[in-house]
Amino acid sequence: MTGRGLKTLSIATVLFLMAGFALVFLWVPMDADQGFKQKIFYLHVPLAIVALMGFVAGGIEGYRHLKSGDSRHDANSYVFIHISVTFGVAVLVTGAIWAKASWGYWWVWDEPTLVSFLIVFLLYCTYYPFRYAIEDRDRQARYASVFAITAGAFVPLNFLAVRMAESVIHPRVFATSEGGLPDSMLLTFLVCFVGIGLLWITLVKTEMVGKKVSGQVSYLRRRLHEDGAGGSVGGRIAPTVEAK
Amino acid sequence: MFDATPSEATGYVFSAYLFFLLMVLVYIAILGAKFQRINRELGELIEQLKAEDAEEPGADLAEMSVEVRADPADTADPPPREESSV
Repeated sequence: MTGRGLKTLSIATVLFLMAGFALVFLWVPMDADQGFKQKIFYLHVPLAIVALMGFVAGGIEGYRHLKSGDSRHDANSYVFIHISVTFGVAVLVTGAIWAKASWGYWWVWDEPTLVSFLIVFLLYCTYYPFRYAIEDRDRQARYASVFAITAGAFVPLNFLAVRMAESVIHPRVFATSEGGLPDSMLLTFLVCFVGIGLLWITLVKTEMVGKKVSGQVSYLRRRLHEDGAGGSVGGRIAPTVEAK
Repeated sequence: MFDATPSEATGYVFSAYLFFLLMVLVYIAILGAKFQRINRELGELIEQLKAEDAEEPGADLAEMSVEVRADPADTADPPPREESSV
């Protein structure tokens, strides 16, 4: 994963997000049940789906790292999880804002959807201290990959368990019964979803470019200080893509 | 359509979108700062390399000439220059 096509991707991201938000505020009809506050869902739901997909993708990259031993997959896994945790913060905050507007409370503890997402989010928050607690870089990468696979497998299981639970408070955006979304709302949702997805990919690619350049700078420094006077090998905590 | 009469829900909706936009901007600013740091580190390394080159100019020139000769295009004899008939 390199920075190729980053400019085009960034432009596409901005265009999709602008189009999506324009549709949300200027075109899509008001929800008969929830009114104006339903418009938060066009942001909150795509963020949640993309974050959860990112966690699963982090697990897949962890598996590829364990299988191949290639440090690039470990770096991918780290960046996928990192960006998804950031999106997770946005999911929790926008969800809490909607909950306050709709229910009058910022948080409801007996709602499985909310609590399960919080559990997944907190689980991934432990990824950082877990990873950084291990000094040896190879062991760090291996253990982090195992964590990413285990937690990544937990995400869809958790989603299905919550979906099957009898929840009466949290709305279902893609209801299989009672009609689901009308076409205009579905189109708006899809544009927002693509925009948020592109944003995730853009941020991942940008982070990967940073990691690659950082790895190259470290490599240059090591080559310049071959006697070990100024190397920064032990001081690095986040994985970088090593220069070959 | 957009609700022309501002209500409590309007404030919540806009605050959610505003939070998201601010978060993205802050993240981009952090990434920008990170790239600036990398750029500064790279500049320092180049300066260091230049300083080391200045200390040992002879060694550097010998190294450079080896590198230049390593390129097959440079080791080949130049084509004979055609004499001008004028």
